[in-house]
Amino acid sequence: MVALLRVVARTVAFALLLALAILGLAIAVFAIQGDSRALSLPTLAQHLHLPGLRERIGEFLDRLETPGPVAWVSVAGGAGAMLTGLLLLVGALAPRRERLVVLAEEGGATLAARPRPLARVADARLEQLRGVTDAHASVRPARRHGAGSLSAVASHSQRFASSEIEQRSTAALASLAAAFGLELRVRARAGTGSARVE
Amino acid sequence: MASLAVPGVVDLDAGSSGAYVTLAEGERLPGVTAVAVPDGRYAVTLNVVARMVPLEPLAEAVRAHVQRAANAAGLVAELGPVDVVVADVVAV
Repeated sequence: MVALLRVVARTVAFALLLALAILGLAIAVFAIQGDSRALSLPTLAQHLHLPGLRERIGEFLDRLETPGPVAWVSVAGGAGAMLTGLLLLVGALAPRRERLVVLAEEGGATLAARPRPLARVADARLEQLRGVTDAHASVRPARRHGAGSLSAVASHSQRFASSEIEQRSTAALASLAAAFGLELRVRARAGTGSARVE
Repeated sequence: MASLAVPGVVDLDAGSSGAYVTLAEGERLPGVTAVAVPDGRYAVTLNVVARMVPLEPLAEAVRAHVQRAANAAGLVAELGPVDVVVADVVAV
């Protein structure tokens, strides 16, 4: 839920900043001339229909001051806006919880690692294998239910078969995956470009 | 900072946003956080940058060094669990 709010908050922030930038640019361009000439602020206001908008908002605010159905619509709108603002604040300010991969827990003390260094260890192990020209591993820590995963793609030269590289890569990473309780997925592919040769 | 004396530990890591820091007697300790636990002790977490060495013996060595440092400072009663987080590994 928080992850979704984070994405929404970032999207809204980007859209608002973009709109602000475009508006600023428009104002800068239309401030070149004065009076009511082509590139003047009154002309920009006409393009944006601001006088008509002012009238409509003025009428709405007049109606808002009197009790009745419009007031309830405004209350609901205000409450919705407050709720939306609160949700966007949660999305923008909620701390990102770091997910770690736990190696051992004993007596309340934990030994854990961040996913990135584990992936780099896996890359280093794979790149030491004969025939492997490039390796890319990624580690996903476990969520609430289920195990985490260690996925690796090993590129190899044309001299070796993918099945052989897959087998040796799996053997090289098995102990690392087992130690951290990660599901291991290894794929081998013939290298392209500079990854074709050892 | 006792953990930096452990072979295999290259550095301590304060995190990308500098969140893992503790202030102690005016000194800034990056990579170290101490959290009070219900029994009155403090759980210490060390974010280390390690060489490519076996991690369990490394963690045990770090904990032993921290324990010795706490003994020397007379803080052994306040020292709670010591968590070791491998923040990064280096190949040197």
